[in-house]
Amino acid sequence: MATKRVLIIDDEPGIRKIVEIALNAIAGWQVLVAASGQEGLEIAAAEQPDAILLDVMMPGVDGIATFQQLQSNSVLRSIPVILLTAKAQPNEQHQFTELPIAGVITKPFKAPDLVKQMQSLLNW
Amino acid sequence: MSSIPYRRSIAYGLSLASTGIALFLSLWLQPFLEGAIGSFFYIAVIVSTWYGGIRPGIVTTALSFLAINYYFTLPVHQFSIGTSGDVARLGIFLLVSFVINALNSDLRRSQHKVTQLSQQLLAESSDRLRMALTAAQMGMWDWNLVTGEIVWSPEHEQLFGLAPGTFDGRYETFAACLHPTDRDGLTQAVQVALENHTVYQHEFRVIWADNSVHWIEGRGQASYDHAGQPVRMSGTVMNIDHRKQAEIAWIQSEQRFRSLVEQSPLATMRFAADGSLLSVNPAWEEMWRSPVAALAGYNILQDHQIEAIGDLPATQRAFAGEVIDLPARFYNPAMMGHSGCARWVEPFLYPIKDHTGQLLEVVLVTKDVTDRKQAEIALMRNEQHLRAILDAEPECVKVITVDGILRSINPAGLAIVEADSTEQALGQCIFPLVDPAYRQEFLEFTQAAANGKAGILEFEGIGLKGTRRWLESHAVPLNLPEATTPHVLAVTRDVTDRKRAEAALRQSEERLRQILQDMPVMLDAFDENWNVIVWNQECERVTGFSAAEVIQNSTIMEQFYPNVAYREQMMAAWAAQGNNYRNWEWDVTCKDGSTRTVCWSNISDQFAVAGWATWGIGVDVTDRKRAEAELKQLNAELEQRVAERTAALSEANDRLQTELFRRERMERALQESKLKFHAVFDQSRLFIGLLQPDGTVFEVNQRPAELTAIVGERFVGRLFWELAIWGQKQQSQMKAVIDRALAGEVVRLEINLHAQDGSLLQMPDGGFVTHDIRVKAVKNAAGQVMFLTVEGWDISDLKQTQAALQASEERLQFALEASRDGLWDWNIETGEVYHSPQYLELLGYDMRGGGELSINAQQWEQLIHPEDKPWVLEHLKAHLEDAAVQYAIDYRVRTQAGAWKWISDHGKVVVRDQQKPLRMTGTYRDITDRKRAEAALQASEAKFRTLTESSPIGVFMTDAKGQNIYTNPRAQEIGGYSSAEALGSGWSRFVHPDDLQILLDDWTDKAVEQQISVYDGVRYLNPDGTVRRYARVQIVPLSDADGTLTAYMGTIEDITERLAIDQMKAEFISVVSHELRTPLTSMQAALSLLVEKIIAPASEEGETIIQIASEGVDRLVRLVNDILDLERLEFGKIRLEKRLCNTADLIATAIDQMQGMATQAGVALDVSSSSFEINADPDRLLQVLINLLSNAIKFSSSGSTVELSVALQPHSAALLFTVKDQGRGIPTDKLESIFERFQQVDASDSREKGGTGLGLAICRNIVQQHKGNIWVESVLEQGSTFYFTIPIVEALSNGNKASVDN
Repeated sequence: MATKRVLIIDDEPGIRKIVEIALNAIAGWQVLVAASGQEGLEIAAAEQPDAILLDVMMPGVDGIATFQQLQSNSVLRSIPVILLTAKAQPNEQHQFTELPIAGVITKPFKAPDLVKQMQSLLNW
Repeated sequence: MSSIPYRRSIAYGLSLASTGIALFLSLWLQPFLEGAIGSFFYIAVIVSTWYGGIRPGIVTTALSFLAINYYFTLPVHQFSIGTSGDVARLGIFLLVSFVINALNSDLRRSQHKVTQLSQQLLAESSDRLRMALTAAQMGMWDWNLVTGEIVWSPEHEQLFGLAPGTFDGRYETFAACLHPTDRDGLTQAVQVALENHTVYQHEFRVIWADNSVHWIEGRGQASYDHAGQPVRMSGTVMNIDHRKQAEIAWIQSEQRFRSLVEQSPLATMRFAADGSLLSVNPAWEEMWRSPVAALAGYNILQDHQIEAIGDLPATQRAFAGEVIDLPARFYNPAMMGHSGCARWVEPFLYPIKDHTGQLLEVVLVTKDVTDRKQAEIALMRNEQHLRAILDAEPECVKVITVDGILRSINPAGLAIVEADSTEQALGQCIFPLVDPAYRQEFLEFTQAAANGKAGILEFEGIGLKGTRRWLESHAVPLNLPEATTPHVLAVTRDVTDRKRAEAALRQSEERLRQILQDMPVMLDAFDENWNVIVWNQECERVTGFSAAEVIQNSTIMEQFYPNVAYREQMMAAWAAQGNNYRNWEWDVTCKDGSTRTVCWSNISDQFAVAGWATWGIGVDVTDRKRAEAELKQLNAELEQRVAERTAALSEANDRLQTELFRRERMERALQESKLKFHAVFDQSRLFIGLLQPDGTVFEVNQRPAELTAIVGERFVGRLFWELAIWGQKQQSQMKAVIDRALAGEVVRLEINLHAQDGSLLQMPDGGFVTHDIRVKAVKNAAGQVMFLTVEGWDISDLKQTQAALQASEERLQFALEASRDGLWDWNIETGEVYHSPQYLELLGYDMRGGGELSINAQQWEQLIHPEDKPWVLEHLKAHLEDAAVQYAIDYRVRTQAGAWKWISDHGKVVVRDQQKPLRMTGTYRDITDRKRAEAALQASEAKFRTLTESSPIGVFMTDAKGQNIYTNPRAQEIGGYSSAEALGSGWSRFVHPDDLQILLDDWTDKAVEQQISVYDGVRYLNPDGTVRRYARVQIVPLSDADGTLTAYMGTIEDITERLAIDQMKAEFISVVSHELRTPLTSMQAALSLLVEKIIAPASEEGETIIQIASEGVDRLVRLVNDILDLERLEFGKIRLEKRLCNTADLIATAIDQMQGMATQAGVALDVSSSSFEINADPDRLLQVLINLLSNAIKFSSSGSTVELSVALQPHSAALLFTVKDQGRGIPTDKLESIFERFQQVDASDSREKGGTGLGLAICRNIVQQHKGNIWVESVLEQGSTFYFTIPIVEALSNGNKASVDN
């Protein structure tokens, strides 16, 4: 079984680092990091990860726009995307429900929970 | 041929020689000639045969044979033949030699023949040539250019005038023969030919010995050596005299021809055979006035106009060789595009051919016949005019010979002659057409005319058909040049009518003369000078003057009118009338001195027949006048008598008139009184009846008739008391009434009328028909009763009214008593006013005892409150004047006790005499209570109004249908409308359509439910459609006592700010929650890894994780602090503790604290400040400085400088703090917004650098709380400068002084 490769797109360096360490340590997945939507698209196109963790609140091109860019790319659209958001209220999250994403994970999260949720959402 | 023997011997000699040679050679060369012995002998044979003939050949053969035999055959040197071979050889040799001989001699013979032949031929040909040349007069020459020798043929010599054989062959001789002029030319020609290797050909003249000049043509050709140099030239010469002559002649004739053409006065054009123009002569140019140059390329065969005229075929024939002479043509060069004037021309085409008949050229001569043509045309036109004139001429115009033969005649003439056609008439003699009586005269007349004497003759003519006419002929001689006999032109007029007229005139003149003479009226005529021209018999008879005495008697006027004054007056009157007047009477003095009166009518002869100026017709009216005078007198007498009679009659008439007039007046008066009586009688509403003394009704007026109609009973002729209208019961009563009346009593009674059937007559509205009857007897002077009058007045209405009045009065009384309202009744005329007891009680008067108190109008007035009185009286007056104006007013009256009571007064004028009010009645009511209530209501309303007007919440009221009736100012402010705009459904325009829909839908529903309805978020719109304010609207229905909906009342609360605040809060919470969660995420994730022991804390990764978590904690702490700070500042929980502080100290502290960070970032801090004392919270100020410095350092790159300074602002007493960096700068659109919460230029940057996004917001809050301003100026890529001011006004006002050192 090939190692799963996950791309995390988040503007917070701390979160990127933690997630990278966590996913690596807990699940043994290989983690690619991107600090912006733009960078994320480039890396996704180049590396073709198996899944993408996408932070919603980013300056510049935010998560939703990045997601739409991914969707518009015929190759990239097939990569499952999980949104990371600090918005926990249902009324805040309704805009996600219409998107063809794999799932939503709210911040903050514990590292093991993150992995568990990912495994569940991605069927890994 | 004497050389023949000579030749023969040579021939033989040759044969011998050749044989010898051959032998020699053969012997010499014997070794080489094995087998070929005979070769040389053969040669010898050939040679000798060739040159000598056959015999020498034979000789040679024999000799050779011998030689061979001797020398070459065995045995040698013997003539015997040894071997047969040799025999053979020799035999062959002989044979061959003979053959050679034969052949050779044949050859020679034929050669000889040929030579002979050719010689013969040559001789022949040279003979021929010579003959030909001679015939052609050609000579031949041959010039050896090397030696210079020339050989001429004899002909040549002859041609040059030399005898044959005399030419010495020298060039000079040749040259001498030439004509001097031509020598050079010839030499040149020769040179040219020689140089150019061309054929030499030249014409020149030679002079013979006899000095005759001849033309020679020389031709020749040179032959050249290999170097190209001419060595020899030979050729021919030919006498070309004829040709030259012909040429010269031709040239001369050409020249002559050309000059002819040039000078010809006729325009000439020369064309080549193809039609192209060769030349034109000057005459041509002149005629056409066109330059020749214009004709470049002109080809006559292509001239379109010629073709158009139709002359092209003729032209073509000319070019085919025919001479063509055409009649005049009109040619317009413009048609062909040439300039030049159009002309009439007669073209003449003459082809010129050479001797072979070949066309050389065609000459076109055009004769300009324009003038002629124009003359012709003019002549033709004239002729046509003339013809037209003659044809139209109504008089006969004819030309006849002196013998009377008709040569020409016009249509009018034909009519007179009565010929049917011109052909019939011409050639006829016209003398028979003249009446015999005049014929002789006519003949003479014609003769005279023919001889030159023009004249006029009148005669009678007879037409061919027999009509007789009077004719007047004017004849003139006509010179026709080609005529043999003289001709006469005669214009003959039919004067039959004239003649007749003349005859008639003469007759009438005669008649007239007779009349004039005989008529019994005077007739005279005067000329301009008042000389008498005409004086008829009657004139003579009357005046006694005869015509002879009068006519041309210039003094006659004085004799007629001796009275100067009279005459002058008369003549002036005549002149005034222009001598035209009728029936004026003048007195004429007759010859015998008597005077007669003549009535004259004068006519000024308008037709001015020569000599007559004025006609006069007069009638002797003397007798008449006398008679008239007598008659007048008689008349006068008669009139007088008549007048007298008339006067008498007049008087009588007048008296009669007066009498009549009086009577008439009386009658009229009587009539009038009758009418009046009947008017009254008939029209009266009174029922009037007249009764006889016995009670019979003899007359009734209209009213009973009406009644009759109702009642159905007739009155006249009946006994009064028997009338059924009285009713049975009262009939008996009526008898008694009559009796009483007869007795002298005036009886009055009221009675109800009955119908015929005995029932009471009823009014339409119930009630009985009642009459008030009065019966009275009218007596005459003597006291006798003449008749009785019965008058009846219908009082049914009155009765009814009375009853009603009574009832109402009773009711009123009860009502008044019940209601405690007072009643008043004002007799306007007298001024008395009745007041009911209640009124008086009202005023405090004790009326218990009953009785009335009458207060008159004046007194009533005095009771009114002085404030109310003016307008009470005004109202009253208004109503009095116009009943339409109601009198209903409230005012105060004074009670007996002196207090004021409010009463409500209503009144109405009940009796008017036409417009004048006589009586007014009214009621009044104590309304004190009501007034009190009203006042209370008003006060309450005022309260309400004040409340709503100043309410901070909008208030509105609508009617039951939802139409707005009131909005308070606040509502208007929220909605953006004025009070007027909101009224009705105006307010709805200002509400967002969607919200409006909800409102309206709901409204009706809720109205039913009677509940308060609340609508949140109703949007009021600006005129441009944007949202003005958000409002919360509450609506409450209002009902009256019965529960019927009367109105709606509502409130409008402006919730815009609240919504905004809510929205801001929501945003803030959203942002903050994200800001809080972000560090928490890294913290929790990190710690979870450690807690779950997934990562060991001591490991490298573990340390990284711990670091991240720690940073997250720091960030969270900062964030929480800032938020709390901000909130506390905003909510005023933190009070600024202002105290006096020194700016220099503050700055120093700030620098201190930031120095470390600055150094770490490689940024230099530069301070320039002065020391100021200000009243501020030093900690907070420090916070601001540190915040700004921190930002400046964060956003500056290493090596740049951050400047901090303080200065006093010149115009506003404030300190200006400046923090300037050289960082990236801030975009213009963010210069304001960065001071908002969580607004950062680029969020990620600041967060990376540890910012919370609240720093500037806090700064702003602090600065604003100090009543200062904070702002930023920035240029991208260059840096930003943050400014904030702290006013020092407070410092001054607090008595603290700010020290200013610059």
